[in-house]
Amino acid sequence: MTETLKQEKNSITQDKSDVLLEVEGLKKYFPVKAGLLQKTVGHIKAVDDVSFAIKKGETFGLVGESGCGKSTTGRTLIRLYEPTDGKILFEGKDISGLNEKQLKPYRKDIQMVFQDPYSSLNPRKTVGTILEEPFRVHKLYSKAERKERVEHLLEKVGLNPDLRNRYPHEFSGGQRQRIGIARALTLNPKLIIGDEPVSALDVSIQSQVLNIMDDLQKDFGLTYLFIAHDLGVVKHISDRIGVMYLGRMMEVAPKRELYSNPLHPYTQALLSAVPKSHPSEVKKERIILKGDVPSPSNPPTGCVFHTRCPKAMDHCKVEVPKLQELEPGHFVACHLYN
Amino acid sequence: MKATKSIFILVNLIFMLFMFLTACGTTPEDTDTAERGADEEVDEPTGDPQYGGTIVLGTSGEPVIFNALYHQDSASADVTDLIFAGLTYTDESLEVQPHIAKDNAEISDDGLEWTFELQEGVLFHDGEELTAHDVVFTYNIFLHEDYTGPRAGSFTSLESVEAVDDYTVKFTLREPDARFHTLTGYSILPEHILGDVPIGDLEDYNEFNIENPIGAGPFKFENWDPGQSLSLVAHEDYFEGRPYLDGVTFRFASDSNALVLLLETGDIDHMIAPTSELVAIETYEHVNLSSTLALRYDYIGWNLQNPLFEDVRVRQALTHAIDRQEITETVLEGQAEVAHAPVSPLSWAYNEDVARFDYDPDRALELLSEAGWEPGEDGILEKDGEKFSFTILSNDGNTTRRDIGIIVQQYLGQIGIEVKPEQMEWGAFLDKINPPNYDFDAIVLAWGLALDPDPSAIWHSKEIENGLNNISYRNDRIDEISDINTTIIDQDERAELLGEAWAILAEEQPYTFLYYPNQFVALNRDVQGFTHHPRVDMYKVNEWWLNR
Amino acid sequence: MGKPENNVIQQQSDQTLGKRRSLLSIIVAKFMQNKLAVFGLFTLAIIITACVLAPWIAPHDPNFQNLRNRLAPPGPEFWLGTDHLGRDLFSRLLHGGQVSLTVGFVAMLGAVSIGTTIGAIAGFFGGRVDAFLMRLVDVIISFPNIFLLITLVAVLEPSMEILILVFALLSWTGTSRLVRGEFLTLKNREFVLAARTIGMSNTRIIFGQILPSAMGPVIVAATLAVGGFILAESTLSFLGLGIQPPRASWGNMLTYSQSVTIFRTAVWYPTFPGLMILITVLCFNFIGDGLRDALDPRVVEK
Ligand SMILES: Nc1ncnc2c1ncn2[C@@H]1O[C@H](COP(=O)(O)OP(=O)(O)OP(=O)(O)O)[C@@H](O)[C@H]1O
Ligand code: SF4
Ligand SMILES: [Mg+2]
Repeated sequence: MTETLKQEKNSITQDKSDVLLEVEGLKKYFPVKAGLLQKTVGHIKAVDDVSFAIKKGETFGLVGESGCGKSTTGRTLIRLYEPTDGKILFEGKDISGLNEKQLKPYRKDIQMVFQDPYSSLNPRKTVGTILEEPFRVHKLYSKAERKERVEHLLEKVGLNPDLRNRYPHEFSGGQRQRIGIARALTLNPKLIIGDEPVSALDVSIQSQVLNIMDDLQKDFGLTYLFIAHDLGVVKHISDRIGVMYLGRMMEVAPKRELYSNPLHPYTQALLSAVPKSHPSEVKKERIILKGDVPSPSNPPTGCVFHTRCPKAMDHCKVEVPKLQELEPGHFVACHLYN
Repeated sequence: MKATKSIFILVNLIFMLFMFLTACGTTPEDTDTAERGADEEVDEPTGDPQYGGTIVLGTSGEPVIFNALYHQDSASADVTDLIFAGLTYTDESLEVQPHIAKDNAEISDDGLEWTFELQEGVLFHDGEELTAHDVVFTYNIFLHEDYTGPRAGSFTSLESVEAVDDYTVKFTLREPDARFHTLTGYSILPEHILGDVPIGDLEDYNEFNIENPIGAGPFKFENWDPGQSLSLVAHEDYFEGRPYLDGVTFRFASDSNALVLLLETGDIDHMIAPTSELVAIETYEHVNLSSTLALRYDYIGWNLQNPLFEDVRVRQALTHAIDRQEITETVLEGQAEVAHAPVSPLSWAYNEDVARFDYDPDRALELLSEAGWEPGEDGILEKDGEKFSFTILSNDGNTTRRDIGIIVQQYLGQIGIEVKPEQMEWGAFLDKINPPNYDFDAIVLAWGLALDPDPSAIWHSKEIENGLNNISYRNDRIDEISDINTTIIDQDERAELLGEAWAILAEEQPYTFLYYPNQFVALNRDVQGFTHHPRVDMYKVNEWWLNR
Repeated sequence: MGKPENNVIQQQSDQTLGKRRSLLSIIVAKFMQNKLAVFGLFTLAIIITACVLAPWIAPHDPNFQNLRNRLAPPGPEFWLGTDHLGRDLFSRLLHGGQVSLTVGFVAMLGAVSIGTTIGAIAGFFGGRVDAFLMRLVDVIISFPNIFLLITLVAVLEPSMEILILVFALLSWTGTSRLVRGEFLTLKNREFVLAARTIGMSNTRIIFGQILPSAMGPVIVAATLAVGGFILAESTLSFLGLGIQPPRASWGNMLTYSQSVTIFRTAVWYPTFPGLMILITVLCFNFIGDGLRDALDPRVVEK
């Protein structure tokens, strides 16, 4: 059944057999409510018609400025939010309309690592309890096995298994983030969504955590959706990168391709802001974006980027540019390339 | 939120505590309250009466209406007694005396025609003269079919009233009525003001009844600030001469504690003193206490619709089981006399020679046993499998009655009767005990007695359905005596007949008659000319004066 | 770079192993630092113990009257004197305390249960459910509490059960707002989202994840509420709507002693129940303050 479904859909990747997750026309609008009766007076278009695919075993980096809808995309994918529209195909099966009960098996397959190591662990529970909770919810393993698995996981993320009985407040931010990663691993997931998993950490700790994630990906054969707000972090770990702006996907390309040949004016602007590590890149001029990011509750017409785009044309204010494949594997949504 | 609110209440409580502590800072004199006799005369006038000054009367009751034809509460009565004047009044020995009338009524030989001569020159507060026409106007209201007040029942024997001339009024009765002279004291209303108001609308005619009552009494209505005070000023042209006082102010307070504190600070000059506060008031050097036996008795009423109280032996036993002597000596501070019948010793119809059921728990148990009540396993009396258990109800706000409920619980508990004392807000209480509900087992209450001793209103079986006989007492002889006693004009003859009624009621114990209490008036030493009346609080206030 | 670094972290953690403290021990330690709170807890423990043991330690029948021995001063037979009907004040104080404390505790449990449930539902599910429940709260709050209290108690006829019922039914709103507020913030905390991503049910999330974190402020409010209810019973007693005689409560004892004569001749009578109310309510407030500091999550987390 999954095979036929895969055949029917309009794919934006050429090779579908190795696709783990595919997102099609995903929308997430948050209603804006007001008044005594909580009437809906408008919508925040946090994610608006986003499509992309993640291949098995790869790391897909999702970048964009703060508020552009990266977290919302991640949370909608994992069904923390009810999608407004669109499809979420996991291993070919659309999970966007499933209820909580139907979702339960998929809960094991998709896991998330959160941004804030301080609020992502329940302060009233010990690390052991936190890590055993997924087993209890899914009624997996015996008591002894659970303990063993928790200890193993702690070791895997580089923590002393004896620390099981401690409370989160007894750990540093980096340690907590490792615990968060361990929790995401408990159920043997296929896909892990990392929502800016290192951005709250000290720069010195960031690379440690990134290294651990890298190791784990190899050990467990994981696929990552890695969310970050700048291109600097994703550069090292991503295989492919998607760039979002104001709820929309602007450009999707393999990492090298994106860095060497950014096509979208927004991507170009973002890249010019990345700290340079090679003197050769210094030559490039920095593109400074003017103006503020418009509000997602009232996004600009046409291309949402036109209010800040240095290359905007009249046409851009009217028509929404489609995400199209310019070169193999390189997708851009911009009228410049029509 | 919650914390600040509770702190607020807490601070209030502490404040209250301190208020009392500081107010009571002086050490009490060790007075033997039992020695205080009744009728002590405290007002030895110092020198000649003098004019001027205003006296402040403390009261916790707010008046409702200033029209004697309609009011039903004592707070309203106190005010109207000062504003209005009647043909006659009742003096402190309970004799009827002429007031606006020159003399007592001239009664025809058949007893059916009562003629009063009026004094000339009696003026209403607005300067108009009070004449026989005003008297006729007032009494015709009682007789009018549209009259909405509560007093129509008193005038069933009155056929008509007419003005013979401007200063002569003639009442014509259908049958001789021994009570009639006590009905001739009602406030005379001004016809020139109220003559055009339809009788049916008179009760709600607030322009007069509340905003501007005009009478011929010693004081004129000036201002009423509800919840705060009410002030009256002297009627300069009062027919007995201008009152000594320039004015009288009623000051309203929430309860007797507040009043006692106002008395202590000198903010009020006069209050009816509760027995429980006598010890404190006696220590106030600037205050005199006057006492007199009140025309009233306190009682416990047994609801005779309840099978528990059907048997007369049970009722006698209940009275035997309650030590009324002890209650009067302790809770009442010795300021009351044990009562045995529903008539006051102050009345000419009093009969001392009635059955008495003094404290005797053994006798009580004997009587109960005769009636079939024997102790059950838990010690509570039982009959036919039913326990002797009931609720005794009193109104809240009256601490003495509340305490009597609790005391009775203990006394009856000692002979195996289970009593549950309960209190209720006055309005709800009346509603519960009165027709058509009769919803009570026993009540602690008191009757302030009418001047005439006619027992009909409380004891006649026809008053069960709609009247004051809410315990549903029924006795043919009492009905008979009630029916005929008012037609007997000769007082001795009537007293003998009524004496028989008191004896029957004392024997039957439909009530446990508790006691006749003394009434105490606390008065600032500066107030002179006060006469203590057993029934009327605002008595001859035109003769009071201030020695300041 | 992976392995050696991990070892470093492990060593660091091992060093802290010796002085590790559980959450509870931190809260207890924090509470113990507050001298007033400890004093309050200690005093309250004594009062509660004495009241619970009243049937065994009260020297007299609390309701036995001796009219010939009214308002007797404290002495060897009647340790705290007698009341206006000659009943032993000490015995009444113990039995009355049982009643007052029961009213306070049970009403608090009722109010907190209702308030927590409603607040949790409103806060967790949000939307229309929340809007409806919060309007309900607004309506209840918009009545002046004391008048509604008086009316309800008067209509239903005062008894201990009615008092508790009415207190609980009128006082849960504060707790529900508190809990709702906590839920509104906590339900979007990442640890709650994490619980959802592993497929945890709503019930389990509400009771297992959010509620334990939301209970801190509720416990503080509940502690203060007990004192509030004891005071409310006293206030109602002043209007004759408290616990009915002959049963004693601190509130009605204080009320019955409200007479100028008693204050003048038997000042111990109002003083003892007044002091008991005062001390108990203060103790609860001290404990509440102590708990507020001890349970403050900011303090715990850092
Ligand atoms: N639960 C919500 N209800 C209403 N609006 C929301 C909600 N969550 C997010 N938004 C709005 O949706 C938009 C996208 O938010 P989102 O958190 O997805 O952005 P982000 O790209 O993750 O930004 P950041 O880098 O700050 O994490 C923002 O305007 C945000 O205010
Ligand atoms: S479509 Fe127009 S506005 Fe949008 S990025 Fe391209 S050039 Fe700029
Ligand atoms: Mg985000």
